[in-house]
Amino acid sequence: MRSAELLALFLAAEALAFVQGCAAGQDKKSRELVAVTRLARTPAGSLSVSDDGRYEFVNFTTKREHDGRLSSSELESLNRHLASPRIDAVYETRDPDPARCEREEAGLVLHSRLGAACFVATNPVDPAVRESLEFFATLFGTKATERR
Amino acid sequence: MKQSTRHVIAGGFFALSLAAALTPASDARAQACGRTASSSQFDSFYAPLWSCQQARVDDMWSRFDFDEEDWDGAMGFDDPCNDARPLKRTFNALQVLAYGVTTSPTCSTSNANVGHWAYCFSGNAIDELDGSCATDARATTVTAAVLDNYTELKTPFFYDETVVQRAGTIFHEARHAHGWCRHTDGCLDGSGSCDPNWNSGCVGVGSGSGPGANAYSVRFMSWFATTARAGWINATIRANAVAEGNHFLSRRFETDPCFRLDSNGFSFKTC
Repeated sequence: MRSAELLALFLAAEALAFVQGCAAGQDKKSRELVAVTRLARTPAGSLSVSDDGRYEFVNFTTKREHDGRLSSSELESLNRHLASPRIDAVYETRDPDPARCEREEAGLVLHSRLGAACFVATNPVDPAVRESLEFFATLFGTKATERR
Repeated sequence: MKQSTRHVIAGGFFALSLAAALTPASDARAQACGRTASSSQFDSFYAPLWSCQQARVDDMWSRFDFDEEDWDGAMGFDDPCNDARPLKRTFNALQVLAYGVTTSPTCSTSNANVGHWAYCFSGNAIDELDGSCATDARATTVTAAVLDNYTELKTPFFYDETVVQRAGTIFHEARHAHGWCRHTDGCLDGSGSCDPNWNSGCVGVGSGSGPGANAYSVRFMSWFATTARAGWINATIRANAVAEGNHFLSRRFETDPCFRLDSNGFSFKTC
């Protein structure tokens, strides 16, 4: 085989590899806005909400799951509570005991872009923070029982 | 005057000075990629568990083929024990991948518990681990036959994920690198984020067979939640691993795998 043919074959192989390579493993950012986990009270479970308003509730007590979609007003409120600096203020009130949410009925573990932490709604004195934690607790309670 | 915190040793790896290892970082909340590190992502929990040991750093540096030019400046090459820097946040994740479940990680993949071999598997599969301030994805793995292969970790990986999520992301990227295993578009998260189903998750010319990258993420979260070493997990971290696993299960498969994780990380059937 002539060297020009070899070169052409090599370039063709490289072009194919490059196209394949560029398509490989683009791992998108998570579309999860927030997850709320409750461990110490029935129903225990985890509510996960994505940026398109879809949610899934995994019930740890009954070992079932269901999904649905937040109303536009619910999603709007959720985004308001997750916006900075409000959510930053919420995270500043996280409980120093990471196991407290396993014992405390009012405890919720929040998972967001700021990380995961245990919160007890009765702890904060800041009314805005308390309002946010109550919103997350109410959303959890509503979606725990609501079915699409 | 601040002394240099590194010097070159045989093989080209850097060594940490005693001062770097023992002095609390004065700029612990220093910014990189325009972001400030959150204190709720468990870096301060895991950092003392391995104390930025030189031997561990050397092992990670060589196993994942880190390069200075990919991690210099604010990425942290000159500040490798600062939990606010992308490099240290990557190191913390790799330590969870290696030692979160076992004191003696292995390269044998015969154990069903991926926590025993995820670190070695990832090091073997990933050609080189780079960092960047791009924001378009958590990470990207490029595989090509003769061209440069690499995995690039990006801003959302460094600053929007907990240490455990980051460990899962590295294992996920390793699956991409191992066998050119690529995603599809047909799940709720879409846009090249999906596995067709649990048992057959790879697509593309030349791709491997078997569970795909999203399944690897779930497997790591489940095994970590159920079998993590004492001292390497707490109730909040376990809840975070379970939530991450369930998010992948609910949104990143074209066909629902029909199971979810319970509060301990064990699977239960849902359909």
